[in-house]
Amino acid sequence: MKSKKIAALLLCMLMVSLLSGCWDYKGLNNLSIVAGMAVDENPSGEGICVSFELVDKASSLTEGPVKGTLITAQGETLADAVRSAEDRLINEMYFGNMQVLVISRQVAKKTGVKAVMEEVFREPNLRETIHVIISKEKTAADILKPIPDTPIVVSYEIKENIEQHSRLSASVRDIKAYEIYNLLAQGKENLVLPAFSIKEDEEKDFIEADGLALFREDILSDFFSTGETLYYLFIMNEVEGGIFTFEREETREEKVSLKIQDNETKRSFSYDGERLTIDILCKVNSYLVKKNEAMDAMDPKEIEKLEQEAAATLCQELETIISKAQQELELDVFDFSIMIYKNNYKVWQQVEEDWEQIFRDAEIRVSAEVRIENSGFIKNY
Amino acid sequence: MWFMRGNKHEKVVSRKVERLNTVLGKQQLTESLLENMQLLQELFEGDETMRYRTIPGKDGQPAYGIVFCDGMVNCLVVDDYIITPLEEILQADMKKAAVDAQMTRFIQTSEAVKTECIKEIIENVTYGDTLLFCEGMKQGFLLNTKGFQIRSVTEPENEKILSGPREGFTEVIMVNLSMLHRRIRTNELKLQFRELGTRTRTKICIAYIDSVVANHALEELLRRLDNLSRQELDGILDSNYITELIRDNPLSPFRNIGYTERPDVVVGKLLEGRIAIFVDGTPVVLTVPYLFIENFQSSEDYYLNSYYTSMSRFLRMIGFLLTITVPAFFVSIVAFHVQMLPTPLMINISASLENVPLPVALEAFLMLLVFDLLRETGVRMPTYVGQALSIVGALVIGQAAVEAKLVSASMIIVVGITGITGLLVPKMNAPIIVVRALLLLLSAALGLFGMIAGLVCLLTHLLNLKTMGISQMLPDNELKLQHVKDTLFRLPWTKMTTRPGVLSGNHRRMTEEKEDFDEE
Repeated sequence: MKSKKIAALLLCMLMVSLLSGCWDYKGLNNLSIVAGMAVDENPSGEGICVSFELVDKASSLTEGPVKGTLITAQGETLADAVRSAEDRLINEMYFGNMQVLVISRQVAKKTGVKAVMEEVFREPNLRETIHVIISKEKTAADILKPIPDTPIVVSYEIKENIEQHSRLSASVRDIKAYEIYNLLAQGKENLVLPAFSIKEDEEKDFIEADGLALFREDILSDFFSTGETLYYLFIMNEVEGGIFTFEREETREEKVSLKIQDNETKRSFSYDGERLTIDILCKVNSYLVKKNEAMDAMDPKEIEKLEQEAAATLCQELETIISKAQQELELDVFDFSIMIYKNNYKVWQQVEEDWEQIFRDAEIRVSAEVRIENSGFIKNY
Repeated sequence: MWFMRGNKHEKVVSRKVERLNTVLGKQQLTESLLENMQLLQELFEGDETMRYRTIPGKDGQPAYGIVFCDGMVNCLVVDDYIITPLEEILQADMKKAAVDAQMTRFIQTSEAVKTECIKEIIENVTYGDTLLFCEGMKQGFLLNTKGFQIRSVTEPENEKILSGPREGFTEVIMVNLSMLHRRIRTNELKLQFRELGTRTRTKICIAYIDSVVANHALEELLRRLDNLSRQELDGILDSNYITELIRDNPLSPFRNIGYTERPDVVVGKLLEGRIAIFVDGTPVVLTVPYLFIENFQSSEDYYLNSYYTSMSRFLRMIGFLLTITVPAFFVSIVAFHVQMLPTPLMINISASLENVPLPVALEAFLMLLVFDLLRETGVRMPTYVGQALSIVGALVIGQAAVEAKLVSASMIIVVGITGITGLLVPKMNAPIIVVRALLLLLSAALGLFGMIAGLVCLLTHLLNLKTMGISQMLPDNELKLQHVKDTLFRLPWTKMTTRPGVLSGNHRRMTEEKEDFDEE
């Protein structure tokens, strides 16, 4: 009896080893870690040209910080390109730690983001939290090119940049791949993705967020500048920090800066059958970080006055960007359609037909409340 | 022709043994002193430490004979308290037969036993007693003249503590029992002797406190010891012989009989209702029942601040978990579940694995083997050589191997953590080696799945472990808050007013009424 039991146990254990056997072995030393991917048009016609930024493991052991290396491969499809890139490597490429997908302007304009993402996300190891950015350079690969004399992995640098700056300076939009995918799956939503470009400093180049890329659904149509990004994020209720600088009425020369501590934007709408009215209310809490010389920061009245001026300026800026979207771009980049769809489906059914026209004619009323909580102080030494 | 000679030699030995056995069984002492002496000389033929001496009477004929083992007796005692009185008796012109009948009145040793049993005589003479024969008497007197050298009481080397009593047991059972007696001054302390080993006749002593002892465990222990003496093992040199012969789950690597070299620990265990087994010839004393948590308890826990010791007990438990799982976990993550690594860690680890020739699992096995080799060598070496060795080991294995790209740096760290944490729980060294290797094997083949399956098996095994018939892990078969006070934590003494429930029917350790010192 006992020996039968033991035999049964051994058989069970053998079966288990068949279920998940050694062929699942995927040793870390046999993998090339892909940090980022750039998708371009194939310069020689059909298919696509994909560049992979790989983590250069060999250099990191001997030379200190980890660097990236870029390899480029052409193919009919993405999978084809991956295969032809792997032909050149010894190891298998591992996408589990990929952080950035760069899409060139040309691809974004022609095939659209959706088609690219469809293909990229077929890769089983890929995570849905990667960042998708648009290259403002000539090609997408330019963004991922190793910067001379700077031992960094560019893709990880970009990821850090997005995650830090979206919080600290509100100069870049933090949108993850799964959020993009959700938007695209909903149908006719317009994407807004961060755009990046290479800036030249005195000594070396560096990569910087450069405004936002605006899409008609998933086809690239226009850009917002870096300056406009902050106000766009205000409308989208995505501001968590940053500096708001403006000129005071009396002293045009001197600018005043407020450090935004937090912001809450409330958006609401009403529709009377013909005309859509959208209300946007921004409530900003901030610190005064730079005042004009004449102002007395200890005087509550002065502070109150400053608050009002800041609110007025903010409204003005927001209105500018909204009217740009309404009149110039004719593009609902603020997800107003989602807001209506989610809050009042009946209204959405009425406006769905000619939404573009209704958006263009909509009356958008912006108001802002700015509170200065702290004026800061300078110690007497 | 060497084999012929070997054969002949064997025959001679077996003939001698035969003769010895027949003598022990059948031979009797006689009334003739000379014959008796002759008999002993025959029995101890070839043992040249035995001393025989006869003391002639007035008529010149031998009147008394003494036999003792040189080196085992205190010669002063033999001279002053045996030979001198005998001479005086002979000089005093008393009626010899009357004197002999009352010999114990004249001989001034603490113990004097009259016996005619040859077996008893042999056992005691070889243990330092002096045998006295009188002409015309069929019995001999065994006189206590033990005076052999023993190791002095020192602090046990492998149970060193920061604070608390530093006394340690020695090899002599009576000295050890005296240390016990000094600490428990009550008539409730029971000490029962037995002898084990057909050749070594090793004395063992079972000690317990009558009013608090765990009765079922005591009965079970006595039953097993009876069983053991029927098995007729020929020699017991250390208490571990007994441990392995009477334990439950004989094939389990986990310990289920406790051991210590510290009298204070034994007393602590006795006071909780446990039973101690002293074995002559070894300073290691056994205690039963041995609960699983005792692996992590240390006598020091009760001598230092309870917050501090709760923490260090926690560290020991964590140490055990780490030392069995760390290599298995590392191997399964690196070889199977790469996606669980955060990016920066992954880059670092994979960079360190670059150009290392062996697969991670094999590397882990080899490095653990090397660590165990170094540890074992360090233990067996004299202290100074040991230090030099550990430096060489650290340098060679640590630095040179990494620089030569034979081993990855991350593996060195893993093995280092494993090795260091393994030393935290010295009582678990055997299970640690076995379990660690098994888990490593499982995870090298099946990844995390294998490791978890292994841990499940381990837990099942632990829950099945018994000590003297009591479950080692869950002695009460239920979990009570009470159990936590001296297991996960070590609460202050004011809170530990009861004994561990399973061990003793007598729960109360102290009254709970106490003066509140805080009030003014």
